[in-house]
Amino acid sequence: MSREPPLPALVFWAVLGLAPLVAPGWLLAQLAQHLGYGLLALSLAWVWGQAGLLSFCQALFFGSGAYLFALLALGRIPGLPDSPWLGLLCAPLFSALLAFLLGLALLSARIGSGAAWAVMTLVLGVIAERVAVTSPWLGGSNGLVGVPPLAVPWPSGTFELVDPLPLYLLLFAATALVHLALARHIASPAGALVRAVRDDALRAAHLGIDPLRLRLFVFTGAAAIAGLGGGLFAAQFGFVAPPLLGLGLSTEALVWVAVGGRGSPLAALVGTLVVKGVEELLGRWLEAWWPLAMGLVVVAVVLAFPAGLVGGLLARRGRPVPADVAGGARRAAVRTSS
Amino acid sequence: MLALTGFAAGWHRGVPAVQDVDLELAEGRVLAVLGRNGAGKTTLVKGVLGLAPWRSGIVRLDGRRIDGWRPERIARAGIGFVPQGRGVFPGLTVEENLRLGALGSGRRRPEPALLARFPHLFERRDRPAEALSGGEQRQLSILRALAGRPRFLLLDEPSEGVQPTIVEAVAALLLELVEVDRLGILLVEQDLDLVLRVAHECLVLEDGRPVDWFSAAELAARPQRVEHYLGL
Amino acid sequence: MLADLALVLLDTANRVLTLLLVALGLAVTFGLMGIVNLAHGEFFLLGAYAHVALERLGLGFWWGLLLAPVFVGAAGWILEVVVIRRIQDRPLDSLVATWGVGLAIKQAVVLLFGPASHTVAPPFATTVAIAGTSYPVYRLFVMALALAATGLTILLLLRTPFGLMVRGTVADRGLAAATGLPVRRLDALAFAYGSALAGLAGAATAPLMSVDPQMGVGFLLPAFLSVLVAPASGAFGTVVGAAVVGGSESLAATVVSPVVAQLLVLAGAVLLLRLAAGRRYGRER
Repeated sequence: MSREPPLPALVFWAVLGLAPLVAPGWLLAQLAQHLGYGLLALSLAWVWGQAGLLSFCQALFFGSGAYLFALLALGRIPGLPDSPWLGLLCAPLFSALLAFLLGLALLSARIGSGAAWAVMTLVLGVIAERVAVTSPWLGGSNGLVGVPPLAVPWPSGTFELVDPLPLYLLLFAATALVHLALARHIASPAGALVRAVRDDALRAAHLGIDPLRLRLFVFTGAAAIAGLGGGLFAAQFGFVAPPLLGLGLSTEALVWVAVGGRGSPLAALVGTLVVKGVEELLGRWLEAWWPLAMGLVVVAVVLAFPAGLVGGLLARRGRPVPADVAGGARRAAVRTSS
Repeated sequence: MLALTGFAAGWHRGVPAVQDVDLELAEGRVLAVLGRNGAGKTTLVKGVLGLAPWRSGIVRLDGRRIDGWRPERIARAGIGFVPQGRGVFPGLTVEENLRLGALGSGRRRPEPALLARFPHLFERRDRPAEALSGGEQRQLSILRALAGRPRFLLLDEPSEGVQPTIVEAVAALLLELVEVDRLGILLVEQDLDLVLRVAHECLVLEDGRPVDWFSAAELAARPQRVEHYLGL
Repeated sequence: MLADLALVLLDTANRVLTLLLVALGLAVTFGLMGIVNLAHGEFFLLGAYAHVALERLGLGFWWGLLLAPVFVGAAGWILEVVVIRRIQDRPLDSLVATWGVGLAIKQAVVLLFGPASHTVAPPFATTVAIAGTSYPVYRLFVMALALAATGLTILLLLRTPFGLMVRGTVADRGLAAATGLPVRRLDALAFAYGSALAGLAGAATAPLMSVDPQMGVGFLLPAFLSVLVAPASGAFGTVVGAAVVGGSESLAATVVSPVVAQLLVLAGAVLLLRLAAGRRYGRER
């Protein structure tokens, strides 16, 4: 989808904006957490849905942002002051840098966007989690705890952002702004170029577009979004742990985006809130059946609703589902043999 | 008898790429399909074979409806195909290409006489198919189709980009197949000389529809009749 | 000293050949057919648990080793027919769908067998003296099995009509169909065969490790890397790929920590792919 219909997005953000008026504190805290995950979903929707780079390591950038926030807030980086705000500023930058370097190594190897790329990201995510587990500086498998929250100066001393309402408003603002920016980018000529590369890199290259550069740009930018989400996560919960980097969270995000719809950021956001919400509601009853159900739901959605559940609805309101949302590269493009 | 009634297939800008085709192809006959590039010739052939999406109409093989069948079933029913371009399995040897042709119709090996039709291919039987010249690949493609012992053969521009000596050899083979083996051949072709040598009837397609139909004798008498269809 | 060296070499050979056994199935489904089956690790898991279940039923070790691949092959056949075939022209979607299948399988195993680990007793618990070190016979058996399975797979693909038809279908699907080859059945059978190899790997290596729901992950990633860096698709190339990936990881792990060894292997794999990029991915550009 090139342009999201504005009305559903307005309704979505209006409902979330009015939520503090009626929702109890525990629900706001939960929504704030899920909005943080929503940033991860937005990042994946951009990389996967727009650029066609299926990433199994998007949580790596969420986690690296979270870790960097924690390290800076705890003053664990020599030469830098212990400042949560600096941490929040640096979290997306660091994730972007990491993605830029990894993308430079992988994408320029012409591993491209097919199976080789997906497998490489899979390996990256698994190794990143193991690195965090084995590094004492990163707190090993326990991670880092006691991360100080964000604080603002206030007439009556400093005001720490620990209560549900201020945290919710912070996450609301951050996610809404990122969503707005991403939607504008997608509707812009640059966004069209990104989709042109996704649909046919060869043709795009003939038209004078450098596919590697564009993919690197999206991969880096999306990592910054995920890093911001990670930093906010650490600020919210005061701890970070290796699973934040790992394959588990990466693939969970894949479920949110696949179920919601990767063609539209709004669909990905709704998918995240719905899947996480259902998990909170039913997860306790279903226990071990929950992952089983999730696996089967993913299969069913991929088979029956290629544009996602929400994405399909949005597309029906707006314009017909473009073939590229359902399509992507032909099977031949992932053939590794020549 | 291979018969098409009101046949439509493919998809091009919201309409079938080829439509309203009625034709009959009997054993021992050659029907040439003429037309400009993009007139729907390839789609017609692929549609009959089940390789392009079938839209409507009826395809009968000896009175039995085969439209909507999967391509492998249509092939096994006795319709061979020589596609446009190379038409060989890359990465496999000449011999393996022929064995696949035989396996496709449930035989373990092709008849030994098959390679004798093109002796230079016999000499290269252990070479990978893509190492052959373009003309040799075309010949191999025809033999591969014949290895399945079809009763009808559909060829898509067999002379395209091939040197004249090979076109000559192909023409001789087609004539022998029709006269000796009594195959029915549907030949999509732009090369009028080849058409004049082997075809009995001609069908002209324009914008996906049949616009003219005449015998080879008429064509030989007035070749300029088709020239404006072909854009010559 | 000699004994130490022999042990390192034996362990490396063991790692390489075990990896080869796991990667062999991927060589068929991924390397040859071009399908990324993210449930491959779970098929490995299914093989090991099928072995556990069959032993519980009172069937001996050898029956388990024989029937587990049949069971997993059937699972692969079902996956191809129900899921993969329907999204053939959407490769990225098939990654996501097979990942979902893998998640469901793993969780079904947890529900059926519990999260704790199980053991399968090897049929021979003896050791044999090699160059001054004693080595478990069963490990040698698994190594021999890996070589035998590889040889059989190569024979199957290169010397049988079935293998020829599979290679033809992979080379040009449309032409294969127009030639009369039963392309759908070939897809399903080849995929089932690759899955059965994963099941064989799981069943054969079950006595060497604790059988738990996470056991597939450790092998899946190096196996994928092995197929990726393989110089040619198919079984031959995978032998080289597994030797490069498994050998370097195993040798590096004797000097540095396992995590660093994995990082080195990944970096090496990226480097290899970069060097080979012009040849293998040149077409994409």
